[in-house]
Amino acid sequence: MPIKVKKLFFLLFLLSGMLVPNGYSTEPRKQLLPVSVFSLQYAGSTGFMTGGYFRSTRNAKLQTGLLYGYTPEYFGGVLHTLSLKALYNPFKIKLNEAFFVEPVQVGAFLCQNFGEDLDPTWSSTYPKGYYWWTPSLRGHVFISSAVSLRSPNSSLLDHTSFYFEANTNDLYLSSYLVRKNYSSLSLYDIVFFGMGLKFYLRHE
Amino acid sequence: MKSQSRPFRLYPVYCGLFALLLLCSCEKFEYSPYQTTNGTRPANLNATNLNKLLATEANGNDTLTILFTGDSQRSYRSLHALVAKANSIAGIDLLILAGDISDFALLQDFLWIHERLEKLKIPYLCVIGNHDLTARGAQIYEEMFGPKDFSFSYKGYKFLFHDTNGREYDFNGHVPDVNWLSGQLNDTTPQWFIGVSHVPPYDMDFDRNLEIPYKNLFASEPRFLLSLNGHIHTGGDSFYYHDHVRYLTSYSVDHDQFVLLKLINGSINKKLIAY
Repeated sequence: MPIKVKKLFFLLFLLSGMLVPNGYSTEPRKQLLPVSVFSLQYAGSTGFMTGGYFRSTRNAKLQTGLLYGYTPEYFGGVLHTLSLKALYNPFKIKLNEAFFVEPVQVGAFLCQNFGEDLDPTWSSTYPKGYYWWTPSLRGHVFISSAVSLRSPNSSLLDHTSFYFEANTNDLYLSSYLVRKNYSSLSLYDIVFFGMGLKFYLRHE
Repeated sequence: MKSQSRPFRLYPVYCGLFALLLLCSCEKFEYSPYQTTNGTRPANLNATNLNKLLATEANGNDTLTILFTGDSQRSYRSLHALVAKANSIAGIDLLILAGDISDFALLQDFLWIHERLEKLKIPYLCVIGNHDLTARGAQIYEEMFGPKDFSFSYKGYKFLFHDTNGREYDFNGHVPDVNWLSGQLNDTTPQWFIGVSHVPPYDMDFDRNLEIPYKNLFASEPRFLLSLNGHIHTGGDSFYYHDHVRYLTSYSVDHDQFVLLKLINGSINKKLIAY
């Protein structure tokens, strides 16, 4: 398939999400007003435990967040990880008055890892381009699913989501794609999991 | 209230799903690509393989057969083929991987290489390469494989595995550890010495201030037979410093061929084998 056609399909896929009706405000302008979301995550390549703050559109379709993750020594640290995350949430399926599901969420995050032997740049001892990748900044892509529970109207929270996420990063993808490694590594090999809770604050 | 009760009846389903998640093996929950352990990664592989090798010494003949390769970094498909080929050849004593086991020195690089090498029927020994020392690789290497400098004797040959990746230490004058090497050469028992390291002394990534003392040390020992190196990626073979020490470099794993060395009483027979 030519790249242009692939791009078109991808764009259509992204736009398709906007056509799906959802349970939030039907006024398009209001849907875009930001709300605050707090997150707490286990694993997912951003730390053993990660806390985050997101700004989300009211329909929760677009979210961007800043996260801090910590990995203790026992779990292969000590690591401090700062992440910038963006998420696109095209579909929402209402199960009943209390529960709804967001079956497919996609997005990307950039992680800067801090720790012993991890420098943001290569030492000047190396000639330029000696190593082609950045030493401790990784780019990840992910796909996730979420189940959400609405809070009672009196609550500060609008709803709480439990999500399960699978991600891979630039170096794993490159390992998979070069030298026909895809005949030896599987996609499952390069994908890693995380899960967490998101607390959507009530707006208005 | 009735509308609220239905989701709660679904709780067994959610609990089941949650249990299913936990059943996914723990190492699939990644904390960071830079984590040094995942709870199940192997440890002390060089020592384990060395024990395996030394156990074969008594019942073998005095011919030493080495499968010599290097730079397996990100060559998973080729390494798989190499292992299959190695398992089809009888009579090999050990496989030597001359460094750059990993490309990015991430735990996963090391694990993916190990998953393939552990299918070998013969023992394998690794030396550390410059790529293995980036990021947190030094710690991962030492925990998974063992010390960066180590030696052992087998069939009358003393092997000196050592770190020559000077550039990774900002050419601090201590890598390679010439004092350690010199101490090893004082051993009077072995008939021959074989050096195993990643960066050969004539390369720009070797500490330039140590090149002369290093190659002179090897040349000063009549029993020093051979230096096995990686890093160059194409097989090199020369008496580089015009002394009695032969410098051999391995093909990188992605070259889809390895060197098979047969050593009989200090004479070296070399064969290239494609896979």
